[in-house]
Amino acid sequence: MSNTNYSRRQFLGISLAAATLSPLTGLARQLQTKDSAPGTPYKALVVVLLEGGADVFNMIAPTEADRYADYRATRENIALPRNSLLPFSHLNGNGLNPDSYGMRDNMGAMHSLFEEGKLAIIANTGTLLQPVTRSDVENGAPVPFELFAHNTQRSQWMLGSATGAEHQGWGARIGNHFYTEGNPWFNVNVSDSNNLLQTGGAFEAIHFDDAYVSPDTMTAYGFGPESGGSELGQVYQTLYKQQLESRNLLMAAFARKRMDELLRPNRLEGLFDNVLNFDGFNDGVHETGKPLGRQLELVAQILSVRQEFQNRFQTNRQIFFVNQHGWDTHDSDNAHQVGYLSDSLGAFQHALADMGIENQVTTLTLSDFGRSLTSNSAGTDHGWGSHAFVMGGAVNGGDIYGRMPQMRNDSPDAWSDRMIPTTAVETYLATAAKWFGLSDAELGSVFPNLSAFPERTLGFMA
Amino acid sequence: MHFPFRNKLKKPVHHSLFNTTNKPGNKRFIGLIAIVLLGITTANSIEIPSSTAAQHTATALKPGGGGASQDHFSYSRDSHKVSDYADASAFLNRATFGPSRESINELFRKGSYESWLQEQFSLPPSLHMQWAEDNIRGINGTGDIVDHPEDWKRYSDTLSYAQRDIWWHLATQAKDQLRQRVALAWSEILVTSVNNGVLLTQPDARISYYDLLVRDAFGNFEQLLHDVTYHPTMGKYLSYLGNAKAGTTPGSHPDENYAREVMQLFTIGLYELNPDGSLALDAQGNPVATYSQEDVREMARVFTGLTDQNGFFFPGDGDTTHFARTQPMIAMEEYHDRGPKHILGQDIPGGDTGTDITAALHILFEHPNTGPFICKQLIQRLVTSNPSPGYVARVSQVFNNNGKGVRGDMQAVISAILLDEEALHGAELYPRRFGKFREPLLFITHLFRAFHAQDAVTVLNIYEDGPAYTYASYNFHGTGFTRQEAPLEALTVFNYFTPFDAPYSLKQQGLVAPELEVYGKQGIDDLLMGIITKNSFVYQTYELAAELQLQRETAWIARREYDRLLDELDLLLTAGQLSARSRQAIKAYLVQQESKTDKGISNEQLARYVIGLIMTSPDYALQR
Repeated sequence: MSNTNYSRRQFLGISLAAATLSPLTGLARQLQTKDSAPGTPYKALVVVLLEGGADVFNMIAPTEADRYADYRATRENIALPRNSLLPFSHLNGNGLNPDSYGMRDNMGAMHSLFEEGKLAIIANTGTLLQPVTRSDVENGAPVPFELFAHNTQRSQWMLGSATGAEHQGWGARIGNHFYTEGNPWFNVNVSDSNNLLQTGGAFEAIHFDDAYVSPDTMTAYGFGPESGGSELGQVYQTLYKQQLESRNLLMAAFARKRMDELLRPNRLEGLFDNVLNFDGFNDGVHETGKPLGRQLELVAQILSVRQEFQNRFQTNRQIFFVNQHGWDTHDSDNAHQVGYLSDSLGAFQHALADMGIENQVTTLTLSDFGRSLTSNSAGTDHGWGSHAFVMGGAVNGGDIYGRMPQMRNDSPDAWSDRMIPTTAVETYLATAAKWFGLSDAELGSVFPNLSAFPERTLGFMA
Repeated sequence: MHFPFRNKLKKPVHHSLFNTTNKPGNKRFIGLIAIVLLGITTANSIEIPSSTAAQHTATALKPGGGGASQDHFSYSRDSHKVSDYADASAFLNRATFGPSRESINELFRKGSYESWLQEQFSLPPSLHMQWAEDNIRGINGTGDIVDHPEDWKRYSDTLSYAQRDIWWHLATQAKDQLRQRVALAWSEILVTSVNNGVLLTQPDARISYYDLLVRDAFGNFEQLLHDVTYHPTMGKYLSYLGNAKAGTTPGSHPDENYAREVMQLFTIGLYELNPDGSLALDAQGNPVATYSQEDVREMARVFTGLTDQNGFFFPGDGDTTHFARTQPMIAMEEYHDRGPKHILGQDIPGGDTGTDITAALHILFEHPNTGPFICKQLIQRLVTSNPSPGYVARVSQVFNNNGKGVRGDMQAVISAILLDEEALHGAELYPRRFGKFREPLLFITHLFRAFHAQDAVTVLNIYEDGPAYTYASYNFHGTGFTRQEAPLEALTVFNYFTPFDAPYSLKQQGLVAPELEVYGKQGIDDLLMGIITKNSFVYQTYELAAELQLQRETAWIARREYDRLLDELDLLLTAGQLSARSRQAIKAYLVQQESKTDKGISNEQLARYVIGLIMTSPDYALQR
């Protein structure tokens, strides 16, 4: 809710006054990095979840007459008008995509980034157990469990696997490879959701708001030393500490979680002294939840003090998670979501350029699933394969990776009117993870089912 | 369209997130970092020995049993008698919006949980729309809402606040506590939300839907499912209001939204279940899907033809009326797919909209999954996050047959949930995993009920010279203080949390803690403490009222009757389960304050601190 966000920002305000209470000592000693911990230069992955299942087929559409006619005939009343599309030329580096395409007319910012070579399109990617064709699927070839359900499909994206054997997110697994004992600031969750992506590491992903809100507003209420309430604060902590070893496992887990949250912010003193502010981000209009622009602004601000993080926490690598609600468009067009995504990504890339770290930060989108090709009169239903976007200076942009599907119900790429993914989630994500610093062997470990697919990586990053 | 709530804050405080200055350090915290790290290491090494886990299952009580026992516990007493005040308090935590001294005494006097339940079942429902019509008065030229029902939409920004106020008022003060409490549980299973482009501007539609849940809370599940399906609020939320048969628009297919979620979330779930709620696995040990995409397609054809009572199949925003927003949807048969349907292995011959929907909902109602799927979630909402399979099986059996051959009798189900041995004696039976975390809404309602929060005059006037209303409430409408949670305000149809949510460390032990998902996003202690201690920032920013009555507690502190104070707070708040060490620490703090010549804190403020300490402690957070 927007008012929730508003008040949250207020609380962030008062909380920060006290967030800087404690000097940061001791932690550096306790963080152990293994010899293979990544070195400089700093690199970050920013994962953007388009929550609800994005209708990417109303973001990218064919422009050539025949292909557009197919698209139009399939999508009917929800098809984008051909003359409204922002045409782009792509390199067709892999030779699989000879046709021409355009972007939706309110994707100006992403269109510019594509033309500048800073944005790539990953065609028709999705959850798979093995490569399958339409006839394979019709003949009962294995496909991921519970396709088309929001939660299961989003989980499979976050776990980087559809096999059901994985329970830690791929972000957490990458962290475990980089940092033997875990690193509390490797996985940073800026979204308004908890997420599997960053779940299962030695540290629960830090929820960035949490870090600020809890203990310092407690201070403001008289529970901290500054307001003369230190005795009270001690009692408060005693009540948690004494339950750390509670016989009740839920109680003990809660006490540990809260103690961790309570204490972590005290490692922040001075961390944000030299933070930069950025223009260009906005709250959007009628955004559900915490607006994506605000989340990306916060990521940019954290990145502006990345050197402090590196000095204190050896975070030469970080993964940030952000989300945008509102993509489950059963009964609406997604124009609003598309435009806000494009503007927010554009502002973020601009901020990175201002800081001179465009080559060090790569942003990638993922979503629950794509959507049905055909309309239900008002919108679209849950699908399978979808296009994704990768953005950054290190991206070999201006091209389409993987193969664009034929957007017709009777196409060999369609199962009824849902697109069968032509690139596995694993192949897509492993490409970014390789750039991030994972060895070939580590890629196989982070994405255990990667070997089921012909290509380990796609080449959109060096 | 204007977002409601946005402009409520009278004194917006603009803080730059990073506009901070250094302050002297707090050395006290440093040593604790090591403790946390230690705690985390320990977390990973704690495990339930598999033998213990198996024992939990093995010793699960048999249906109808009362004689099962473990070494340390046995049912020698009549488990349905209210044997002491603490038990009464614990019961009221599950069955109401929080115990007060009066409600504890009343239940104890009755002496029987069953008679308390019977009385609750017989109370007339407190309906939220009725309250609005009786109490919301227009002022400064604005008409009363009862006489101007179209103002619900016209002034939806303003009246959306009223929806929250009504909920807080009735959750806290309505006599039909059990009904209201169960309605909240239903609203978290059969989810609709303000977070929807259309419903955002229709507070009356949201209130009307909630009233449906209040009205049907104790009815038959099939009736509830039917009424939910026909309510225009659900029709809009899951986009089947105005869902037309295939080809109405060239090339179109029926909307699959409700067809899928009514199966996945409202009745049978994704996987075949055993009657005890556990997964029914196939020969290879894999879960079995309950439905296929083909079932979803067929089901989508069923839910064609419904629209609201505006007279248009695809009503525009301008067509809507208060009547249409609050009355059941109707069918326009020319948009309904009359063909035969094949759903979950059963044939529906195909007919008019009503016949098809009744037939399809009956298939779902009769599905063997529906009992365990729904009952386990109700247990989780009211009693415990990790019920034993035996508990789920006993309640499911009552769902399947109330003893008189009736399936889906929710009075029988709710009684079975609240009177089960595991509900009444779970803390002794399953000390390692009994309980559920309170959700933020329930913290606040409990605080209000326990300390008799007083209403104040509310004036809703969010625009200068705009519509203005007045009524008595807690004035808790403008806050984000519950953070991710307010009634009917979930971000998605998956609620604020799902039945499967848990921190990773608990998941590894096969346990869930759904409500912690809400805690995880934002700490709630700071806000709760702000309310309890009457922090001026919190109260002024949000113009809160809800004056707590703390005369007793203040007097006990003045008289240094700390044991009496803590006895009472322990009973009211933690149902006698405040740990000895917590109690000791709080008492020591009170004694410590006493020794100061100028402590600078009033006795009332001390009482507030003590209440705050308890209510932000893990002892309290985990309802057992």
